[in-house]
Amino acid sequence: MNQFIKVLFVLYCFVGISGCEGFLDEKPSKSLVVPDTLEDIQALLDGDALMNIDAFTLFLQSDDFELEAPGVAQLIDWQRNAVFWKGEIDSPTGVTAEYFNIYRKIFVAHFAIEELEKFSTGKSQIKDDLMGQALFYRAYGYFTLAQLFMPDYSKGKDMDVGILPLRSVSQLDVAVPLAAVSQIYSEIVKNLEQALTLLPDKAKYQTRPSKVATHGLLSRVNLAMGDYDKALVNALAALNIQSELMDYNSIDPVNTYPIPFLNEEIVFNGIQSAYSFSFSTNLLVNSEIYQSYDSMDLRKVLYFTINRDGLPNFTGSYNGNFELFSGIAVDELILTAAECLVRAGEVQKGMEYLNRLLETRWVTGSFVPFETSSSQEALEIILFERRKSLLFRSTRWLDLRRLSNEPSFHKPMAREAGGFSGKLDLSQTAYALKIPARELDFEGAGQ
Amino acid sequence: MKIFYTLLLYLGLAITPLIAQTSYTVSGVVTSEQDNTTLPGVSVLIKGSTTGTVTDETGRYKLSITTESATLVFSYLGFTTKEVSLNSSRSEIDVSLAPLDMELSQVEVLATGYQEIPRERANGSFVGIDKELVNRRVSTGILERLEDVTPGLIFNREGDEFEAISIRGRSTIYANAQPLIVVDNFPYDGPIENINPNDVESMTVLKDAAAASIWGARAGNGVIVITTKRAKAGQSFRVSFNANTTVAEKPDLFYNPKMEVSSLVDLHRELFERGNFNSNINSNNKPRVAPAVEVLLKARNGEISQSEADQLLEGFKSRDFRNDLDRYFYQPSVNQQYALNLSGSGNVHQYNFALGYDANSSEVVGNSNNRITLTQNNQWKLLENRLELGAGIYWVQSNNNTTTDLAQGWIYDRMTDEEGNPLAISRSYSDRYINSIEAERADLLNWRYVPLDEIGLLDNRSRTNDLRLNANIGYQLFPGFKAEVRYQYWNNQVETRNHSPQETFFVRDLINQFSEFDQAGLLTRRIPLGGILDHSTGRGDSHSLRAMLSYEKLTKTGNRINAIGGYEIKSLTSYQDAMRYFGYDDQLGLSSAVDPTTRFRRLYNNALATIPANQSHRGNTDRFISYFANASYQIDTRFNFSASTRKDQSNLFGVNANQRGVPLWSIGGGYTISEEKWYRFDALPYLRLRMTYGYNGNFDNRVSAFTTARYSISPSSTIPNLPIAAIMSPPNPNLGWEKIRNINLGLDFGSKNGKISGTFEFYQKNGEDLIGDIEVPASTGFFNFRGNFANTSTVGYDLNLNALIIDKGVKWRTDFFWSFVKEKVTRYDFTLPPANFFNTSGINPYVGRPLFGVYGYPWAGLNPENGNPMGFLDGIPSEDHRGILTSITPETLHYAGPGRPVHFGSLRNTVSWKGFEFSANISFRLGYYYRRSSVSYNNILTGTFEHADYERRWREMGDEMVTSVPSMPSVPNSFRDAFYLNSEVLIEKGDHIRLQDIRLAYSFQESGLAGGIFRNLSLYSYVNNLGILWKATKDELDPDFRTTLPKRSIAFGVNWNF
Repeated sequence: MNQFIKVLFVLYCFVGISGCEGFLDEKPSKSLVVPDTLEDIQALLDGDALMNIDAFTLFLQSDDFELEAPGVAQLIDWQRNAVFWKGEIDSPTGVTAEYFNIYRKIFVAHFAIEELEKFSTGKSQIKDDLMGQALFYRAYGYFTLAQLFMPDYSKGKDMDVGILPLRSVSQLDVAVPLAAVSQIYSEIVKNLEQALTLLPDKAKYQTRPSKVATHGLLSRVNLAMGDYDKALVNALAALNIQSELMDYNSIDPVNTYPIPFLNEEIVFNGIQSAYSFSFSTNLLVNSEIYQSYDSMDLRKVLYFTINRDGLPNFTGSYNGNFELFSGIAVDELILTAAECLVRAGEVQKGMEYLNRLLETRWVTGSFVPFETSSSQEALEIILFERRKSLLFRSTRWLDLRRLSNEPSFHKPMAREAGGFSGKLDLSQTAYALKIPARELDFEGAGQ
Repeated sequence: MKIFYTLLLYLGLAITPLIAQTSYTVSGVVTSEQDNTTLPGVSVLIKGSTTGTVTDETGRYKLSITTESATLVFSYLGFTTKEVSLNSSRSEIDVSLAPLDMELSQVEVLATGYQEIPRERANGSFVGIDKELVNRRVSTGILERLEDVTPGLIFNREGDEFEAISIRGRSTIYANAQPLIVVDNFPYDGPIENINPNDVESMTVLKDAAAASIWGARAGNGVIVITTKRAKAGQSFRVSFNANTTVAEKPDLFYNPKMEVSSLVDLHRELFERGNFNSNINSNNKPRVAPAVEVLLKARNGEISQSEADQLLEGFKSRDFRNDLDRYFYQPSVNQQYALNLSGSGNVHQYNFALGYDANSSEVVGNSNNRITLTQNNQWKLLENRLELGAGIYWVQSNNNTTTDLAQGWIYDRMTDEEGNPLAISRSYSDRYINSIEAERADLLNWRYVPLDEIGLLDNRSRTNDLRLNANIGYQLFPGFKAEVRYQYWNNQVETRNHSPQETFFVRDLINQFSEFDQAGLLTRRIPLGGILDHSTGRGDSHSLRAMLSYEKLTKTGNRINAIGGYEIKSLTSYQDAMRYFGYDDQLGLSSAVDPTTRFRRLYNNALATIPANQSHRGNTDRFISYFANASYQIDTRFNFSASTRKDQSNLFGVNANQRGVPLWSIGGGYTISEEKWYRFDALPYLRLRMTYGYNGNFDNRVSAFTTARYSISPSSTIPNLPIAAIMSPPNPNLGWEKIRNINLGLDFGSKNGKISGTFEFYQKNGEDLIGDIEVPASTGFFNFRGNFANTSTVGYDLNLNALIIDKGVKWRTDFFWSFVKEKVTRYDFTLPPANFFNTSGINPYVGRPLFGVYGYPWAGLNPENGNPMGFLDGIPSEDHRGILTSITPETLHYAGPGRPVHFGSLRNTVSWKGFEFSANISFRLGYYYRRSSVSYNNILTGTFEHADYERRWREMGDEMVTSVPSMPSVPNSFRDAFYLNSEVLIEKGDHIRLQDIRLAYSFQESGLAGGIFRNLSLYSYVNNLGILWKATKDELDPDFRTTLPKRSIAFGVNWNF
């Protein structure tokens, strides 16, 4: 009996120590979290290395640039395929970063939306802001995908073919339908319109979506859809909030990349994913465009650097760096407004917008405002100045596609260099990149 | 619930069979004649009967005698059998047994980290590495000493650095693949380099369920138990001293087959002429270009004539940077090791004290590391041995000093001119840029990189202090029943001070990069003059506590019950902080602050950049609670049954609470056939059959049931100092632990006089619910998804034979093992796309094939027209590489065979004569394949110094008959490269036999020359990494070491025992 008591006593001592509740609840790594607070969600949406990066392929398929044999030799296979419009940008490992990164961004947006929906406690300004940001990113992601992997809206809107996986939840193992062009665009518009009701006019940081950025993005989407009335409404709504322009005369041209970083014109900061080719001296500016700048036009001074071979390279990124800008800025909004005003018949007002912008782009006192009463001529002027202002910004692809529907502004493209050649006539084909082959390996493509 | 669980466990184990007997009793202690240590487990039999007993763990026996006069037979493996006649007047009989042979005198006791089990009672699969084998090799580290002496254990020489060792194959895919390392009863948290091999008494490798399930969820990859030296009871005061020096050759920089330097110069010229370097030449970043390109550019610009350029280029062809590296930067490395050990024991106290010092010079001049180890261990036995106390301190300090970084340059750069004066070479920027900026801005710091001037400049020191404190208390509550508490505190502190003085290129470069000139040409330095100090500190603390009850009972009929049970709790926290100081003056201890958030314009490219601040913090916490129990029941000396169970819980990230714990268990049985009365096979007087079955576990702490994200913050991000989070893993709510089912069948045998002994074990390991990746559409935002998607099955055997072939004046001993391991994936919920079969990890799960398989694209030769590599597209030879790669399926890929040895083993012969002892270890690895490297044209086209196969490339029609190296394409083609580099034609057989090492020693015995000064003195020499004796492939490289060859080394040492 004595022994039994001893045993019990020892057992008591032993077991007594183990009653530490919560001992196993400590998180294993300081920097690792299960994101569930509003701060966590903001930090995820602030991850600009993912959220504010856009596809380089938008630019690669455009006619903003030229290249010669050494430039072609420098291209990675998939970039070469994009440059010569081969219709696919696959890589041997099956990883198409340009496609994946956008869907990763959409995952974060879905995740944020789902987490925010768990906060049941009434309305909160912070929660609304975050919800608006997430919706913006979701729409932004799908819009880039639509530009790359779907035919132009006007050619594709009546096609009833599923093309892009349209995800609506973060969960991985759900079957996802392939959405048609019209479906994707209506989803984009819906998200952006909802975001408008949630976001503050301006964000604390230019890397965060805001109401002005959402109007700006929506005006781009409207342009892509050929809805110039709405594009005008949104561009003006954005300009109503932010319309400050830099005076290019105050920018010091000595620096290689002279445009100030996060300057006041930027409505939403976005960067094209950078590859060695994106800042290569082999990446040459479209010579036709380059030749067209007036010598008093400061864009010529600030945007370009003549390399040692005497050829122009683009160094006028709004990112103030070698990284190419793809965000939304006031100059783009003004140009959109000008174009849409003219299309709406308000030629004079449209020209006023254009001249207001160009005034700040020329050497002080030297700019002679454009004047015309012909809406066709006005459009020609505005569209050409749009090219000259938004060069290397990734918006050219969007313009090429939408303008291919207007014979007077359409131009077939062709390229030949380094033993490779390619042609693209957007008016003839409903051109779009193929969904990566790897995606098609999954049954039903969208799983 | 916990209480109930534990209680039930203890009570269940405490059942004592009661057997009554009427007679007189004899008792006593059995000790070893050699050192008076008590011998547990000695069989005590009444002659001519089956009645008998076995001594308990303190060497005591107690036996009831019913006959008036009897003779007791004391027998014990490795000792001479002794017979003692009884008469009723003697009831206390102490016996001492003489060892059979000095060499075989050690009773093999296997440590599991929880208890020590004599080999004869172990049902599981253990490999014991005794002191002699531990000390056979000469090395700074301890784990190397297991290599080629441990059946079933292999060192993986290529691939995953976190899987240096595999025990019986790999039973996991992505989870932790390292065996658990236990040092003195607790899992070791520190770096294994901190264990001084001289402090190690023995090692035990636990391979199967019974052996390892006591370690539960961490035992899936096997367990290596390291036991440090202890004084033995009754041992007199001893001093031993061991010293050795190892010299290893310089690395062979020409080992990797590379193209000719002259070919590279020609290539650079060709690419230059094609304009491929234009982008770099013109780049705003002013990158360095190859010297040949600079020369050709000068010629193009008319600064030098074409013939001058040609002449310079010819000159480049005879240079080789590797020769300069070999001459100025490399040296033979020298490792010195000294170890002093003092031990002894008194009536109640045993102690051991050891001091070790290792000093190693690196293969790079000016770099070295050293290690000091100090250990002290005390054991007390009080209250008539009922109370045991122990305390140990293990302190290690290791220092790593780096003064020199290896020089970097083009292969035809040179470090000196003809007179041997140091030369500058281009490091980051083009010569043109450096020349012009130097001429323009005299007030910049010297921006040249002179490799020879960099030697010895750095002052990088890292110091690790590692402290382990052990305490244990055990109390025998009543005979056989013991309570024990063990506690370990571990603390590891690492401080790294990397000081780069201003003279180093790194600092001069950074300061110049952030130098600005205003309109007036005035210089502003954004980084102050002075050195750069990168300082980081790290600290780890762990507390481990184990409470254990053990019960041991020898019944009067000679049956034995052993049981242990208890629980363990552990908390490990660690953190790391890093900081960079600029303008550091080591003399005065001053530094200045910089502005890390403002974007400055870098001088060389005028691009905005922030000063790299290198500020970081990390912290981790691991927590475990485990419950364990283990019991064995032995029926006389013939049958032994054992069972164990363990449950582990941890704070693994985001694992649903109810899935945190995993119960694992094992059962086992042993049958000593030779103890049967009917056993008459004299040639094999010892024969034992054993079997175990059960589950081990494993976990992957990188997966989680929830979506996880990692925070970061940086002054250089777009919005400085804005906290940013990035998604790390997608949610997986159904995640479970990995389980490994183990079956082990073993046969132990020993011949007459112990001349031949051995073990044969057959096993099957089935990994169940292993964590695997399935690919998911990229539209999910992920490429793959990790979950319990796989099963594997491993079957194999380990044969271990030890033979004393000649046992006369000359002794010849042979130790041999042969391990066979065949792995197979038996379930994988997804068929991976073919591109995954060529990943660098070598892991490519495919049902029916090993985890590590070597695959290749089927090869259709080179196209005779253009030298393009051809594969098959729809069964027809084709050079549409994109088509081939996208249309191929895992079924149509060529499967060569396993990527890891299926057979491996070693043969160790030891010949001794008088004081001399010679031993040599030959190891072999068979039945596997590897993919050799070849030339990548994507690299060639950027002007990279590539593989030697470039010289054997197809150049003209007909070459396809003699070579399989494709022609050079004009533009990079990733698909063509990927096809060739992963094609079947590059697969080689890995089978080989190597002479691993040779050891020669001479021992003086006490009776020898200088009587009294020592008990034993031995001189030894050890030669390691001798080389390959035979290999199956014609490929010139060592199949197991395809990037660098292990360096041959020779060691001399002395071991002195007082």
